[in-house]
Amino acid sequence: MLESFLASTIAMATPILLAALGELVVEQSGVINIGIEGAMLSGAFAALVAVYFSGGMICGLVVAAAAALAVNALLAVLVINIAVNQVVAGTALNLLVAGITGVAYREVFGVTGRALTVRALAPLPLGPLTRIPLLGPALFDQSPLAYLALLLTAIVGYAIARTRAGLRLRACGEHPEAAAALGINVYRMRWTALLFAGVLSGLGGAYLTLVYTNTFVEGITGGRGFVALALVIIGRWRAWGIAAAALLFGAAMALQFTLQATVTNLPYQLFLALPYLLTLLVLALMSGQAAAPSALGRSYLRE
Amino acid sequence: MLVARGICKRFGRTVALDRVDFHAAPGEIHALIGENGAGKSTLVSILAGRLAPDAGTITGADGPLRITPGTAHGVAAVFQAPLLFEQMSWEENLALGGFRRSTRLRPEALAAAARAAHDLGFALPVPGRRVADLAVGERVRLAILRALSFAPRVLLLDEPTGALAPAEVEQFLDHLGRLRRDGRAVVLVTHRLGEALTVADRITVLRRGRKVAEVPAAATNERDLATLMVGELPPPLAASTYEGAPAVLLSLADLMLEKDGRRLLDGVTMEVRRGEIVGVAGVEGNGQDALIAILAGLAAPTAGRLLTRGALALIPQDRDLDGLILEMPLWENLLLLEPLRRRFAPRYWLRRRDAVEFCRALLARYAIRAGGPHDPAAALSGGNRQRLAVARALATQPEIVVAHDIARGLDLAATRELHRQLRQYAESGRAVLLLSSDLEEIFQLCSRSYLMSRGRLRPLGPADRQAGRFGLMLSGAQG
Ligand SMILES: Nc1ncnc2c1ncn2[C@@H]1O[C@H](COP(=O)(O)OP(=O)(O)OP(=O)(O)O)[C@@H](O)[C@H]1O
Ligand SMILES: [Mg+2]
Repeated sequence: MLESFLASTIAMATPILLAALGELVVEQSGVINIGIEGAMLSGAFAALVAVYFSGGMICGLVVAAAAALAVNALLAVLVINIAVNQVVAGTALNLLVAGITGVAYREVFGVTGRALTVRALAPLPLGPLTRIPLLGPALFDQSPLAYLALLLTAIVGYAIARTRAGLRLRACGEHPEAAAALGINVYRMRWTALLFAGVLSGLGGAYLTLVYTNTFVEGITGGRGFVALALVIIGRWRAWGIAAAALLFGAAMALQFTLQATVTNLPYQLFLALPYLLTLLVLALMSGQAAAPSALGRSYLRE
Repeated sequence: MLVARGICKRFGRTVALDRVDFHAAPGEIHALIGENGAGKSTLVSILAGRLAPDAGTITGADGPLRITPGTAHGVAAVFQAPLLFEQMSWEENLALGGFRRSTRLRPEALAAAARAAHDLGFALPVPGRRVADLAVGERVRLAILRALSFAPRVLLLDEPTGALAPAEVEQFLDHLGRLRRDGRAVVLVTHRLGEALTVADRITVLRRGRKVAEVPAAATNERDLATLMVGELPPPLAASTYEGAPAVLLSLADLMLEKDGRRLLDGVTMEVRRGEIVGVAGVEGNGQDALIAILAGLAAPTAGRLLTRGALALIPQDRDLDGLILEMPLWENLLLLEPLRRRFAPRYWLRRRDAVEFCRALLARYAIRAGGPHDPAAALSGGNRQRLAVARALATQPEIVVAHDIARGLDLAATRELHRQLRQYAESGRAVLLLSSDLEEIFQLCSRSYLMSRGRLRPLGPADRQAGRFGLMLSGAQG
């Protein structure tokens, strides 16, 4: 019981953590990526199509990453090069991707009504570690993407705080004009950040189709992109803070499933709302002390 | 080597630069002077690649340049409002400079910075401080260190000395001399003509966007430069003539302020009466900020008493950060002060037209060069921002005006004009408290003055006026 709760917490946390780490990097460069939901959705859809037609998991992941990369590249052109308002552009992109994936799904697989399923991305047990009682099966018998998310938390956190590249990234989010005056190419920095985030949200999306459901339904992301956005705030723009917030959200999700299965005399929608309510609550409690990059959401165009 | 020819730049209807030629030659210090709003900062921004000129060419050592922001062309600049990363520590700000590269942050850059600071006689701030928490002088020193770290072939400095202590200025100017011997080109914007005459080889004077003179420093003098800059200077101040009752408006009794175990103010006692301008001389960092914080109600004294009679208005030292919101139009900036807000928005609605008209009148009265009340504060030149901050404070008609480092960034004529206004204000039966590191200013303007040193005040008498003794005392009084 506890074991499956733990395992499920991590499984639920993984995709949003991946997306949120990408978002963290993007926000440190000064861009707010509202389109993250769309990028995840495109990754989810692309993963399904690729695995369905090729059968290869690696192929599925690569195609998912590429699809979300393309979505973010489009966003980059809009918000970095043409300086379209970031909230407007991101929202438009979300709607666009939701429309395209819905239509394309019916186009490619027809409206059979039959749920289309693919093979699942198998977990990767870490040998003897899985034999640790209680924790072993929960922590060390996860999808490879979960390990990747953990590894990236450490890498992204270290890189942002401690390396030259991270400092230059933050400089762009803090005061792009000053960064440019010091010879930093703000455009390139923000582009790189958005492309990196594209890969991560693509993988996060792929996780939804290849690990959770093995199928695709319209709007499968169910607001997880927006949750990732909130996690960055709750985690106060720190990688480990975001990981902690993701686990909290994952736990709420896992609990929600358990409650849905055990408590039957309450409407299940109540439980569905639980993780989101929790996010909202924590957000309300946390947002007092801001640590956001000063130029977050502000376009930069050089004279 | 940087040669600019026929540079033009307009902002809307304002012509900031009109066919200006300028060059920065290796082994030469070139001073750029001119009244407030003459176009100095605009020219510096264009040379640094921060602004694109509307017309004109810039040529480097190997042909025409299309200068872009950054330091790739060997140009580094300290802008009038230093471009710093407020939310980062000062160490991170330095690490973004041109110190030796390494992937990991800390060590080398900091050691190099410490050495550079030592060469300049600059003290470094407390480790780990955010730039937003640094004093004005510290910020400027930081910007200078960072610009020097690029070892630029052309160094552009926009009024760097205004926020430095007298002893620091001396060492800094010496360092510029060393850069010249190294064959580097230095451009120095300053309002202190004496400074330009001693350190520069060549002086260019701008006036209303045009170049009116370019002369070797050896072939000119302060009087001629002043005339070139602003035409006739207003006459110096006469003695004060207030004859009303000298009621006490501000009284400080034995004020103490301790913070983090450090004593910032130590038994500060003083009275300011109607009709008086009282001066507090001293090098920055000796408790001025603490005193201001208490007067502004931002800090409570640890011990002692503070009494004020009537409203008190404060003119802060750093207008850009504490005083003005650069994105807001000028008339809205006026309403940031509570008394003016009450006046123009007594109930629920804003009396927009009245406020705009009031702003227009203020711009005219204080000779603030701006397109109009609807211009954003960002469109004002540095000195004009200062004038606006002063005009706004006086417009609230406070009984007591506290002015901190008020003449920084003002040209000669504007400084005299401002002094006249303050004197008039005091003579109308109000009081002024003036904090300044400029002794000349204190002695010219104030009826009584004190020296602030390590959080203590001591009265200054006529005997102290011998500049030599003073220089020593001030430089030795650094906190
Ligand atoms: N961004 C801007 N928008 C509109 N007008 C501007 C802008 N920047 C400068 N100006 C105008 O251009 C003129 C020149 O300004 P500049 O800042 O170059 O003056 P300055 O010589 O540096 O003056 P100061 O001694 O006060 O710093 C001023 O009239 C100013 O109002
Ligand atoms: Mg200027």
